[in-house]
Amino acid sequence: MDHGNSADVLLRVQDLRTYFYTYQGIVQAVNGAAFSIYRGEITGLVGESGSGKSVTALSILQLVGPPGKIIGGEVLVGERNLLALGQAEMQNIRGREISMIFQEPRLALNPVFPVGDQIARVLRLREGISKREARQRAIDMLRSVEIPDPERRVRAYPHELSGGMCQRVMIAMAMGANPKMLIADEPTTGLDVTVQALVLDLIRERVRSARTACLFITHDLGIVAELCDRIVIMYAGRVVEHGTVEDIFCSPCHPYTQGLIESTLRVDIEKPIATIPGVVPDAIRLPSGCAFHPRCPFAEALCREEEPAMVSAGDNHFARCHIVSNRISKKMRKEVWTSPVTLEAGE
Amino acid sequence: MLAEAFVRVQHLRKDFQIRTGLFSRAILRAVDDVSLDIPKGTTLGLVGESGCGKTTVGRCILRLIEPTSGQIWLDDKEVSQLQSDELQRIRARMQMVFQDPGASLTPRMTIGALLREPLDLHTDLTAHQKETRVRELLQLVGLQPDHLKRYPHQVSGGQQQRIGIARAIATYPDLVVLDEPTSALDVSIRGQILKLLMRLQEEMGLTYLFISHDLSVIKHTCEQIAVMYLGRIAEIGRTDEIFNDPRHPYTRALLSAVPIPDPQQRGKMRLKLPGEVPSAVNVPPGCPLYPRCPFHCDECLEPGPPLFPVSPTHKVACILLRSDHFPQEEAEILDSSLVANQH
Amino acid sequence: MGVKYVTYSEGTIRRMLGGELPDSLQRFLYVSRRSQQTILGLAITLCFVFIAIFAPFIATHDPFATKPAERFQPPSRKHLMGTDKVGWDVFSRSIYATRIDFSIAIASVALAIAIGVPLGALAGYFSGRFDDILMRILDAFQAFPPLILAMAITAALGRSIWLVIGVIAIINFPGYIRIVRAEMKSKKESLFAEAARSVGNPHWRVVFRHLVPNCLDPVLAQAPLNAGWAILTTASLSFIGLGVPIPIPEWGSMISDGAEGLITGEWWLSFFPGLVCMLAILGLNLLAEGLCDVFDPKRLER
Repeated sequence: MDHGNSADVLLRVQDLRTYFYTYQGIVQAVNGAAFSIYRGEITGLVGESGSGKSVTALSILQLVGPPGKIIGGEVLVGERNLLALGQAEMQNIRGREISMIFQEPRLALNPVFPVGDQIARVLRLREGISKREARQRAIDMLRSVEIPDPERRVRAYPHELSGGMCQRVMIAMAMGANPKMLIADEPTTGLDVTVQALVLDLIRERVRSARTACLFITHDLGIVAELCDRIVIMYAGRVVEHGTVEDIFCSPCHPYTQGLIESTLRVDIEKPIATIPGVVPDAIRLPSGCAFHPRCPFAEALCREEEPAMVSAGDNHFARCHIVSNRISKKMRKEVWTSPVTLEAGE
Repeated sequence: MLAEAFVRVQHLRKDFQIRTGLFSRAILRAVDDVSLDIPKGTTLGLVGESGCGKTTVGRCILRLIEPTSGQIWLDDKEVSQLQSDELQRIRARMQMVFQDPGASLTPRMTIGALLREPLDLHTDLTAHQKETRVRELLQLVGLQPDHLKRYPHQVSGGQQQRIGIARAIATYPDLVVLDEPTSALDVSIRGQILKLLMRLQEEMGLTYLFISHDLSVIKHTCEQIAVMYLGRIAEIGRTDEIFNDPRHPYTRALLSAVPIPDPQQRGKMRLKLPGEVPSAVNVPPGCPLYPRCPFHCDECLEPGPPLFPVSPTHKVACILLRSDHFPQEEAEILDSSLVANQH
Repeated sequence: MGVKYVTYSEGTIRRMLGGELPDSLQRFLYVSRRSQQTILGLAITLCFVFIAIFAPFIATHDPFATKPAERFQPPSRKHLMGTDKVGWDVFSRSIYATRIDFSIAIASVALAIAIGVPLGALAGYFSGRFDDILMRILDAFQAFPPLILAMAITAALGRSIWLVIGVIAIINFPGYIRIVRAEMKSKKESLFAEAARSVGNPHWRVVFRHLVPNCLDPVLAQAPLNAGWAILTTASLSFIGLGVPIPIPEWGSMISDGAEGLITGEWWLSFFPGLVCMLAILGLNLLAEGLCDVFDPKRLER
C-alpha cells in the first residue's frame, strides 16, 4: 500500500483495527489505519478528537486496556509483527526499542517519589546497574535535557516541578535507552506556548542527533509544519491522507486536510475565519461510504455509497478521496471553507 | 481610547492568601494594578500564559471573585461595590462563556431548563413567553428545537458551547466575558463558534472581553489587545499595533514562539525566554519579567515599571521605552544564546 | 408461585419507551446483561415488592386468624409452611411479614435520606463552623454500635412500628450526611456550579437545583444496602422482643417464637421465616452491588 523506499522504513502499521466495547455500543476508534514510519524522520500523526490518533499509538505498544481491544491488523518492525507478541516480549520493547511520552507529564510521573528515584529505577530495571551509578546517570540525563541545577532537581517531587520540566524529565527517561522510535502523544498540549517552543526544540534536537524515528501526535498544524518531515492525517479512525510536509501543505488532496489547513488561524497573516461545517461523527454510528461526506463541500452521491480507496496523488503522497481517484469530477477550492453554507453547485 | 469607554476597569487588584507551610502564609498577587477600557460593541483581548491573571480579571469583573481593590464600571454603574439585590440585578447585564463547555453545563439539567433559568431569575415573562424566547435563543445560536429535551452530555462539544453562549445572551447582556471559549474545541469547529460570536456581537451590540492564550484567535477577533504577565499588563494597544509593532520583550517572545502552519517558514528567528513563569507569591518589586528578560538591566529592578505610551493607543510597561535606545534588531541582543535559530 | 422471567433486548426497550434511553438506564441494562448477580438481585427484590403489594391474593390464610385446633402442623398441601403454636399459617404470615419489613425498610431509608441529604449538602457547601459542629455531633453519634443504640431506644420507648422506622432512620442518616457532604465538597468547585452562580443563581438555588441532583449517585447506590440492613435490624429487634409488637407478622419475631421448635422438632417454625428473610436481604445486597457498577463507570472496565 505504501510505496516509499522500504529500506528506510522502520515500522509499518497495516489495517489496524481497535474497537472499544462500551455500554452504548461498539466504538470503532481505529478502523483500518495504515502508514509507515521512516528511520530518522519525524512523522506527524494529525487529527482532531475522535480521529483515533492516540488509540493508534497505544495500539502500537499494545497499551490498550479494556473495554478496548485490538481486533485486527499488523504492526511490522522488519519481519516481526508487534501485535502478535505476548506481554512479556512487549515489555522488552517498551522503553527500549520504542519509547513513549504522554500528554500530561505530571500525571505520568509517580507523585510520591522524587523524579531522580524514578529515573534511576527505570535505569536499574533496564540495565541492571548499581544504585549509585543510576543516580549519577539520572543527574546526567537531567542535564542533557537542559534542566538547570540537576543535582538539586534530582531530589524534587513531580509536583514541585513545572509542566515543562516534568516533560523534560519524561523525554530524558524516554530517550535514555536510545530507542529506535519515540512516540510523543501531544506532549506540549497544555503547556504554555513559550515553554512549548523550548520543549519542541529539545525533542527535535534529541531525535535528530540520535537518528531516532519519531511519531509525533498532535492536532496543531503549526507544530507539524515546524517539526515534522512527513504527515499522516486521520479522520474517524482512518488515514485519509499522508505525504511529506511540503506536499501536504502546498497541495492537500483530501478535502478534510484542506479544510483543516484553511481553518487554522495564524499569527502572521490575517485571513477570513474558515471552518469545517458539521461535527465529528459519532464513532459508534459512522456515516456510510466516506466518513467525511456529511461535512464535505465537494461530496456527491458516490461518496455516500462507496468508501474511497487510498490512491496515489503524487510522489509518495496518498489520499483517500474520490476526487483524487477521478471518480467524481469536482475540484477542491479553498474559498468554500470561509463560507461553507453558500456553496455553488457544480464545478 | 478608541472611543468612549463602556466598560472601564481601574487599578484592579486581587490577592489570594495561600499556605506555604504548616504555619506560614503568603500573599499571591494574582492581579496587580490592571486598568482597561473597552468601548461599546468592541472586543478587547486579554492574552497571557498560565499564571498571568487573565482569568482572575474576568472573574473579578463579574464579581464571581471579590476584587481586593480597584473599580469596575459598566456603562455608568460602578459594579465593584454593589451588594445583594443590586448585584443580582446587574448580573443580567454581564455574563460569561466558559472554557470547558461540557463542564460548565449542569449535568442533570435539560438544555431547555438551563436556558430557561436566566429568564426565570431576571425577567417577569410568562411561561409561554419564556418558551418562545428559549426557542429563539436556540435558533440564534444555530441549534434545533429538539435539543431542548436533551442533556448536555448528549450533544457535541461545539453544540455545548453554543448552549453556553445562548445561556449567556438570554438576558440581553451588555458585557460578555469570554473565557477561552474555543480552547477546548477542535480546530475545525473553532471557526463556527468564533463566527457565531462575531455575528451576535454585531446583531446585539455586545461588548466582549476575550480571554485567551491563543494569539492567532485573538488576532482575528479583537480590536484591542492587552498582554498580561504575572498579574500585570505588559503591553496594551490596538491589534494591528501589537502584531505589527510589538515592543515589550515578553510580547515579542510570545509572538515568535507561536508555531506557524507553513513549512516554508521553518528556521525563522525566535526570541527565547529561558526558564518558566515564576510563582506569583512574594514577587519582588520591579519588572516581573526581569529574571527571564534578554534585555534586562539594573534599572529594571526599580519599582514599576509604569506603562509608557508609544502612541495614544499603544502603551508598554518597559523602561527601555523611556530611552530611545531599544534594540530593534535581534542582532543587538546582549545575550545571543537567547535567540534561537530553528532548524 | 413461580415468577416468569423475561428478558427484553435493549432495542425492544428503546422502542417501548419511544426513543433514547436515559444514560443511567442504558448503563444499568449493560451492567445487568453482563452481571448475573445484578439480574438476580433485581429479580428477587422485584419479587418481594410484588409479594408485598399483592399479599392478600397470595396468602392462603388470614394471618391473624388463630386456629388452636391446627397448631404445630408440619408443612402440607393445606399449610405450605406449616402452622405455629396458635395455629397461624406460617406461609401466610411470612407473606404478610414482607409488607411489614419492606415498608419499614423503605420508610426508614427514605426518612434517613430526607434528613441526611439536605444537611449534608449545606455542610459541604458552606463549610465553616456549622460543618465542624455537625461533624463532631455525627462522630459522637456514630461511636455507638448501631444495634445497641436501636435496642436502647426501643427498650426505653416501647414497641411500635413507627418507633422502629424512626430509630433505623436516626441510625442511618449520619451516613447519608457524610456521603452528600463529600460529594458536595468536590462538586462545589466545579465549573457548572460557577456557571450557575454567574447566571445569577443565589446560593440556595445553586445548592439544591444544580449541585444536589448531581450528588445523589452514591446515595442511590447506598440505599438498597441500607434497606437490607434495615430489614436485618428490624428482624433482630423483633427477635429479642423489642421491635414490632406481637400480633403483627414479622420475620424476626416469627423466628424467635419458633426458636424452641428447633430442638423439639418443629423445625418449620423458624426455618421458613429465616429463609425468606435471608432471601430478601440477599436480593437487596445484590441489587446494591449492581447499582454501584452503574454509578461508578470505572468498575465496569474489568
